[in-house]
Amino acid sequence: MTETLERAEPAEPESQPASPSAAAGNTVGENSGVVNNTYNNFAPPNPEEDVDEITTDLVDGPIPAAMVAEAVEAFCHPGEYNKALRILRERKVLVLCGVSTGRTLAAVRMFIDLNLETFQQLDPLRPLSDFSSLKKPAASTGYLWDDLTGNEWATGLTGRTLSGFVRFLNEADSFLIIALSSDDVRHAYIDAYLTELVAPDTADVAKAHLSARGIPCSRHSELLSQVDLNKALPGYSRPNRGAEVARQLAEADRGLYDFDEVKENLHRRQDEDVKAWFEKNKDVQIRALAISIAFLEGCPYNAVVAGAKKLEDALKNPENQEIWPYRPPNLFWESRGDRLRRAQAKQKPTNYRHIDPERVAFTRPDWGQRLLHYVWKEHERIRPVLHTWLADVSRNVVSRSDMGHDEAMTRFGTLLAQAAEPDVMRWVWKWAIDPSEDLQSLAAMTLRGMSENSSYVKVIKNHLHAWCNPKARTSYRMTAALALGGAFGRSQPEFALLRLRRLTKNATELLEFEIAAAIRSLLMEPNNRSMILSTLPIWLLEGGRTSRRVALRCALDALSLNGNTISFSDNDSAAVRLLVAALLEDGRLRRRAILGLTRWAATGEFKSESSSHVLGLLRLLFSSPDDVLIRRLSFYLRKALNESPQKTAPLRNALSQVLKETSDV
Amino acid sequence: MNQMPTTRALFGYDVIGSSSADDDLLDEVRELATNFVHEALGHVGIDTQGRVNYSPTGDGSLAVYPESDLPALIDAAYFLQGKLYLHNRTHRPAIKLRLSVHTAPIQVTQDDNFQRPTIELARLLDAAAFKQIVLRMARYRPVTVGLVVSDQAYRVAVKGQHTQRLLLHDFGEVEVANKEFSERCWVWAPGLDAERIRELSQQDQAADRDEQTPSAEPITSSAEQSASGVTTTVNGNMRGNNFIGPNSGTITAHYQQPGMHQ
Repeated sequence: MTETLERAEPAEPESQPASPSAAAGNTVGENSGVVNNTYNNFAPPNPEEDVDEITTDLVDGPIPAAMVAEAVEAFCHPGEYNKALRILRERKVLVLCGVSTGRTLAAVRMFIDLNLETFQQLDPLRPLSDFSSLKKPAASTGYLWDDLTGNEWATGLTGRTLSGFVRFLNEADSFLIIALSSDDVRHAYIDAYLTELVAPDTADVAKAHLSARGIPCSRHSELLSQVDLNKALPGYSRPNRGAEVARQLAEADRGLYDFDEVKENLHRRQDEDVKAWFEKNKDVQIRALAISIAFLEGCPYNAVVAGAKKLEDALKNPENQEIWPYRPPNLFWESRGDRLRRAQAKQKPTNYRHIDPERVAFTRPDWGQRLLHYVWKEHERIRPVLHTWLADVSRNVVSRSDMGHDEAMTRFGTLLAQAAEPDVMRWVWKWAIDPSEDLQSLAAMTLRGMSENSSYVKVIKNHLHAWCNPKARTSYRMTAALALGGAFGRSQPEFALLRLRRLTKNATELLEFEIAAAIRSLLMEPNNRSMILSTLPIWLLEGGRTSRRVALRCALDALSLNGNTISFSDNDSAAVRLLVAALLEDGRLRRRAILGLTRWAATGEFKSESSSHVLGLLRLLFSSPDDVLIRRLSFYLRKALNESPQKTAPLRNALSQVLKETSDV
Repeated sequence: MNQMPTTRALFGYDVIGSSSADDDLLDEVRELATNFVHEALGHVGIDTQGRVNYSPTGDGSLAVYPESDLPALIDAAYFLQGKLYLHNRTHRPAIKLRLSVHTAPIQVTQDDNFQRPTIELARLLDAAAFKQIVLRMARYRPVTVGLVVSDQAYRVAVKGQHTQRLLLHDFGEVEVANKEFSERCWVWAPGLDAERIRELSQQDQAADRDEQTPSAEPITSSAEQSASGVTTTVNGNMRGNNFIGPNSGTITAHYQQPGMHQ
C-alpha cells in the first residue's frame, strides 16, 4: 500500500483563475471586483473554451496483453535484433530506429527475452527530461518510450542524459527502450545505444500470423497461393502488411469473405476500387445505403436501412430534407438482395433465423472504412450533413443497447483519426454538451475512435481533464465517464483512473453508474487488473462517499468473483485482502462475494486450473495478518456452508484442504 | 574394424517442482509441459517423430535427434521461454522447465537406453550446480526455463555460430559435477547475463537458506517439526530420473534447533 499517496489525486487549487471571458462579461456599471468573484465562483466552466494544457503521468500504463501475446506467438525477428538485444542487456538503454520495421513489437519481444514481468508504456508527448521524475519501480521493469518524433528527441539525447538514465536503470534493475519514428538519427552520443532494425520478410510475418491464428503450417502455402504475393506483399511493404494479409486470408478461410474479394482487396492500388465504385454508382439512394452500412456495419438490417433512408433524404435536399418535385417511388424497383449487392454488402448468416436480427456487412474486408475515408476526403461538403445525420441516427435509430452500437458510433472517431483534422474537437463538443445521453455516448465513442491518432491524444486528454471538473456541466462529465472506458481508457489506465476518481466528486447516481462501468471496461485489459486492484483500496480508504461506493461496486469485478476464476500475483495480496475485508462489511455485496467463491469452487470441481485458483485465493485470505478478516470470513463462510450444505460442498472441500495446510504449517 | 556410432544430438527436459503442484494438477502440468516442448521443437523445424532412444522420465524425457538438429535444439529453448512466459502470466500453476542438450556418438536402440551419452545428458539435467542457478534465478526474474549445454555441444553449435537465437554471450560458464560426471558446461537462464549466471553458481548454500522467496525447485523437500522440536531438512534429489538403476542420489541431513538457523 505504499502507492497510496503516489496515486492520490493532487489537491484542487483553492481558487480557479478567472477566465478572461468571464471578467470581460461583468463590466456593467461600476466594477467592484466583488461581483466578478461571486459570479466566477458560481459559473460552470466552459470547457470548449477554457481547456488548459495538463501534465499527465509519464507512465501511460502496462503494455496490452494482446501485444505481449503477439510478440510471442506471431513475431518474426527483424534484422539487427540480436545486436539491439545485446545493447539493451549491457547498457540498459536502447535507442531503436528504422521506419516500418516493427520496432514496437520488437521492443516488447526484447522485454520478454529479458524475462521481465512488468512492462510500462511511457507517454510519447512528455519531454525527455521527465524521465528523472520516474519513481523507482518495486520490481524490474521494461519501459517503452515509443512513437517519438526523431529530431526533437535526438537533440535532447546527450551523453549526460543517457548516463543519468543508465544510473537510474541500474539501480532499479530495469530497462528502457526509446523507439524513434525516424531513420535520420545520427549523433555521436547515442551511437553506442543505437540500433536500426531491418524489417523482416513480410511473407514470413504473414505465415507467423497464420500460425498464431491456429492455421497449421501445412496449410500456409495453400492459403498464401490464393493471392499474388508480388502484388499483395510488394518488397517495400511494412511488417503490418504481412499481418493484414494473414488476417484477411484467415477470415476468408473461416467463410467471412470470399477469396476473390480478399484477392481484389489485397491486389488493389490505393483506393482506386472505392473511387471506381463511387463513380459507377451515382444515384444518391445507393450511395446513402453504402455510407449508412459503412457507419452501421454489424448493426441489424432494419437499423441500417432506416439510417440510409434518413441520409438519402438529407442528401437529396440538405436544406429541409424534403424531396421536391415529389415523384412517387417504384416500391418494387429493387429487392433487398439486389440493393445490398449494389452497395457491395451482404447479410451475415444468423444462427437462429427467427430470433437473431439479420446484420449487414460489406463483402470486402475494410471496404466501409475506406469508403468513409474517400467520402470525407473527396466530398467535403457532405461533412456537416453526415455530422447531423449521425446525431439523428444515434438518437432515433440505433439505441445504446443495440447490437453493434459501440462499434458503429466509434467509426466517426476512427474516420477523424485518419483524416488528420486541424480542429478535431469541433466535431465532438456539440454532442458532448447536449443533455441527450445518446449524443453524449456518441461524443464519447467518437473520442475513443479519435484516440487511434496519437496526435489527437493530447487534446483529448486536455478536454477530458477539463470535463472531469466537479463544477463542469453534467453532460460533459457523463461524456468524460463514457469516453474513459473502452479502448482509450484501456490504453491509458493511469490517466483514466485519476480522472474517474475526479469524477466521483459531486457525482449523480447515473454518473456513478457510468464511472463503475468505465472501471469494468478497463478490467477487460488483463494487464490492467493489478493496477485497478491496487487503486480501489485507495478509493476505499481515502476517497469520499461516492468513490468508496464505486470502489465497492467494482471490487467484485476486480476480484473476478462474479466471473471466471483467476490467480492473483503476490504483489496483489494486500489489495485482495483489503477488498475482501471491505466486501464482507457490506451486507449485500458480502452475499455476492460468498456466492462468487461458491461458484469458483463449483467450477474447480471439473476444471483443475480453477481448483488451484480457488485454493490460491483461500490460502491468500487465510494467511492474512489481519485476524479480523480471518474471523469474519470464517464466520460468514460457516454460515453459508450451514445454510446450503449441498450447494457449498465444493467450497467446503476446498476450505478444508486449505485449513488443513495452514494448521499443518 | 570397430566403428564408432554416428554422432547425434541429445535433448532432455524436466518439469521443475511438478510434485509441489496439487495432485489433481499433476497430469495436466506434465501434459502441458510436453505440449509446450513439442510446440517449441516444431517451431524450430524439428520433427519429433524422428527422435530415437526416447526415454520418458516421469516429469520429462530424454531423446536423441539427428546431429544436424543440434543448433535447433538449443534455439528451441529460446522459443520455449516465450511460450512459458506467456502461459505463466495468466495460468497457475506456472510451468517451469530445466533443459539439457548434449552431443555424442550414440547407438540407436530399441532396448535399454543405458549408454554413456544418455547418462551424461541426465547428469547435466540433474546437476546440483545447474539446479542451484535455476533456483536462485527466481531472485531476479521469473523462472520459465533453464538450459544447460555440454561443452562439446556448445563448441560445435554455439561457438560454431550455427544457432540463430541463443548466441555466445547468452551463456554463462559453469563447472558441473554430478556423481562420476564432471565437466565445464554452459548455462542459459533467460534475462540473466553470463556474469550473473556465474555469480549464481558460485554462491554458497547458506545464501539459499536465508532466501525469503518461495523455492522454485523443492530441493528442500520437507520441513517437518518433530515432537522434540528438531527441524529435519533433507537436501538432495529424492525424485527425478531414476530410470538408470536404483536411486543413488546424495541425501544429506542437517539437524537444526529451532531458531538456530537464522
